[in-house]
Amino acid sequence: MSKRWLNCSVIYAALAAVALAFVLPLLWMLSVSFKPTREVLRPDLLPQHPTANAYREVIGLGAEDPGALRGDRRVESGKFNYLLYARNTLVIVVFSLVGMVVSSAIAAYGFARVEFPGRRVLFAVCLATMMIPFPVLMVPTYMIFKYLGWIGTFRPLWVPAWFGSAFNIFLLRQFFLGIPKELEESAMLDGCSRWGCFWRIMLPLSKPALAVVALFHVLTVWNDLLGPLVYLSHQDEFTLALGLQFLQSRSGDTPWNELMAASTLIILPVLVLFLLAQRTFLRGIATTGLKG
Amino acid sequence: MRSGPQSLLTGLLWTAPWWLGFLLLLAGPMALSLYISFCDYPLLQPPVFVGGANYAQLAGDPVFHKAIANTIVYAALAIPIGTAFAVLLAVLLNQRVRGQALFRACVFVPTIVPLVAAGVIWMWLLNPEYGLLNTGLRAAGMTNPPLWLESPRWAMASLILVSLWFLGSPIMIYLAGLQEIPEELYEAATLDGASAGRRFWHVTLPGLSPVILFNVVVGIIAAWQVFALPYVMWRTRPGPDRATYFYTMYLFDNAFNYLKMGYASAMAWVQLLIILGLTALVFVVSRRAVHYRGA
Amino acid sequence: MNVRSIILGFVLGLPAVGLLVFGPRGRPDVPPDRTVIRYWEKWTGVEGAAMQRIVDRFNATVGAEHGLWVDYQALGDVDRRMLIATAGGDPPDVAGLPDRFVPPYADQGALHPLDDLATEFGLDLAAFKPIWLDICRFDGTLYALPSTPYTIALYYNRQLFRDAGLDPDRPPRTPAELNEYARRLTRMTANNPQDPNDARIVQLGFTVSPAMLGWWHWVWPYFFDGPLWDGRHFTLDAPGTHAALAWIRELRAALGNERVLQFEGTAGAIESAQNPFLSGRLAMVFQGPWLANWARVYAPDLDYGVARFPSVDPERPHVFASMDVLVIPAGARRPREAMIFLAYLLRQDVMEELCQAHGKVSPYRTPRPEFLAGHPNPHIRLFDELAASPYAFGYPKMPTWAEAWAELLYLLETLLRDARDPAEAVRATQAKVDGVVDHYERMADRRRQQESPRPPGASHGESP
Repeated sequence: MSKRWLNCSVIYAALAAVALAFVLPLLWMLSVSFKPTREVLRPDLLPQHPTANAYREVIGLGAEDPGALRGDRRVESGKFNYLLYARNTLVIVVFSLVGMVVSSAIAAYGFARVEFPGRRVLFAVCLATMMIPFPVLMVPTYMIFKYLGWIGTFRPLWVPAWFGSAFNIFLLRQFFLGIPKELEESAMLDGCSRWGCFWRIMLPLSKPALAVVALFHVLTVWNDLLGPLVYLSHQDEFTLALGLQFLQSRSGDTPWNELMAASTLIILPVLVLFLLAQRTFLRGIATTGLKG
Repeated sequence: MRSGPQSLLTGLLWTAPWWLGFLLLLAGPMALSLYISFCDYPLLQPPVFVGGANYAQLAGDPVFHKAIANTIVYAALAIPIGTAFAVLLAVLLNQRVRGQALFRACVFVPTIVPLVAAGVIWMWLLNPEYGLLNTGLRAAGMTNPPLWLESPRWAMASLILVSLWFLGSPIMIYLAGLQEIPEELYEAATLDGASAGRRFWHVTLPGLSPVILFNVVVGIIAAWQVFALPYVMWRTRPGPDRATYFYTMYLFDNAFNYLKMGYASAMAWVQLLIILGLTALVFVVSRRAVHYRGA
Repeated sequence: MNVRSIILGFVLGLPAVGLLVFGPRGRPDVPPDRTVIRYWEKWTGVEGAAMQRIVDRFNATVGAEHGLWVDYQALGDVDRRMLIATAGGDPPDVAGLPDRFVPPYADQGALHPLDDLATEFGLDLAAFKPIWLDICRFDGTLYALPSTPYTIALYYNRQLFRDAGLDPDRPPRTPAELNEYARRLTRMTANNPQDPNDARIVQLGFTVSPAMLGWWHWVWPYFFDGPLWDGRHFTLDAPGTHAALAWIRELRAALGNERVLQFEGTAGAIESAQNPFLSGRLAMVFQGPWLANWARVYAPDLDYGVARFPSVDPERPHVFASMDVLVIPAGARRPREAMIFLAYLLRQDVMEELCQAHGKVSPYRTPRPEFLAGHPNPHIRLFDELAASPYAFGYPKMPTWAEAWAELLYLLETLLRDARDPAEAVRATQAKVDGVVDHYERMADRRRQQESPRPPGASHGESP
């Protein structure tokens, strides 16, 4: 009993230390976001005169003109407009999420389970595409989207998701490989088609992995900077990450408190998503009836 | 079912989402970049074919050598340290205790911090004068703590330290992998009298091995493409004495600052070959060490 | 569905759907019958707001007359974005660039030549100070128009001068004098005078550290009569450079290089939140007119003066001058319409309103009195006069400047750390940049031979 208690407290201490180390930088971010502009330069850990002004600014409440909230006027240049940017980012997430998860899963299943000549080569090529540095593809890719007339729209940012991504295909393939073949083989003996196996056996078993892919995709879109940087040139179309980068690139007078307030607001929804959904994708295959 | 053409068709149908996207969006730009790597191409004028001149020039370019050396050092340190750190944290976070979700969230939340903000936060934390880290070190009795970002000796260490902060995603993948290891294996090991350490070595690690392989490969790719964080933290400078000037940064500079797209493309293809070689090596070396239960 | 999913739906799903359906939408409110001119800039915040006011006024007046509507878009990394968009064949109609991009982009044919348009639209180029017009030209052709210009001067902390027994009305006039002042303005903690490692610099007189000064690490040879570019060749390995390096090393040796490095590592960059001049830790700094704006916000009680940065011979007052420029990218769809907007922007009253809001000088030879009187920087007359110096210099007009810049940064950083022998390092840098320039020239020649029928300055982006 007491040994167990000791064990437990050691684990708690370790967890607490780790959690603190990871969270401390964020607490600092939070602290700066509540500092008034004049205190931003000081190294104090806590704001002496805390204020929510930075938040009002980045959400748009600080503007004298109440019309700002309705968003029916042009974005004031260089101002971070949280609601507008969040909506833009959300549009991209919504249009791309299902495509990314389903396409990646189908392709991953093909690479994991369907035996066909040239599979290894094709998979190697798929992995290799992950390794190409984006800068060299930037200009040719830009030309393709320009040819399609998609520059200045969200399409270059969500259409490619419908072709899956090498990273997610790789991730799902690894998970699929971990699921015993016997389940499918017995189902096939019962007359189940490949598609049926995939749809009725593989996908339900891989819910946690699919949730991971979905979460990673949301994260990628939420934080993607290079794509929006190249394809979006209108402040009305900015995404959250692009708006933030823009806030930082203000020469000389970077509003640090607004930068940190905007960062906090960007993190918040994803954090809530993670807190609520983490059990779903970590619950594990063990509890869903798959053992050994 | 297993016959050649028939199975090829099936395989191609299943993998269609990927290869269609590859053909439509990637193959063209890739082929173009391969061609351009044999050209002088200042981006704004048509490319001029120069044969292997770009590749030959790379061999004698000291900045290229510096960038490659930095990247190798970074990868050689950050990947093993990061992997060990992530696996241990995953095991720790897998302990069934109250507040488990909260602890997991704490470790995960840094990965969702936008890189721009993260870079700025760490510039402050590592500030030699006011930064939290050095304040702590001084309180602990160190009289002359490192200058971190501004010291050629410590710049790389700073970056590796910050990279540990971003391990949330691999840790989550390890956690998901841990859920897949059957409870029976642990029970059996415990019945056999295996200690916690031996259980970790003989059950946990083999069970995690496919996931470790995945994370190492992704880590290699990420290390060779490290860009945004040093770009923000050293305010677009190459770091003290180019100490944090990495492969992709030099590639990016060549492409868009020096207007040498041909040279940059040659760098990209060399990089691709390096990563491919390393990945193949990892796959070969790991063949015996990785256990797929399904296979 | 379990409880968690329901919570998830309520906490995240509902707001998300709400935001998608009712959230703000970016709708450019262009009046129907107007032609849109796309204008990309780098300015945000106060600077961007000033430009937006002018654009709004143009759209309401001159723009309305001509059926034009300028769409002002502030973007990060505007130079790179313009480059990619131009290479991709879809550039904006007007772009605001830092001036150092004029030579490389002009030489690659990315900029629309402006001489004819300027004449046609009646721009009085002679009204600008020669240095500003010179920066806009490359190879004799006008490729840009002056926007907000600035000169760089020496700011000094008058209170620290008094504390050190120096006359605050007599700033240093030569580099040697600057070093002498800097020595007297440097203060150290004197815990243990026997142990040099124990003393730390708490206040530094002056520094050239790239870690703190950012972009201007390469200017020092100019103040020793040593330009870096003669129009064809990179001229680093010359007496001016060696004199400048000796000057830099002399001060650091006198103060203890290790200690200076320690201070520089901890002091924070000039353009960052921890600006050491504003906090009184740095007594003198090489800076532009906008510093007054930061001082007002972050250090309203700072007592400072401004003087011309010392040149080795006061008879040849070298002054570093730089600015933002306005360009029409090659392949822009509406160069003539863009020019209508540029002509409006360059009206003296409009341009000076902009420059004043940005805390910079006016490009005009004779600024209007209300510009000087209403300027946020009390020392603006000095900055304006500096631009008239016949020895004013801008960025070297090298198409390969970006790479030379990086090499020069590396040179200075390694020399400040005593990592290399100065003469040797200068020779190596000279050779490296020579190689870059040679290669560039060779390829330019080959390109000219291959496609001789094309007129110079035209790019493939312009072909229909």
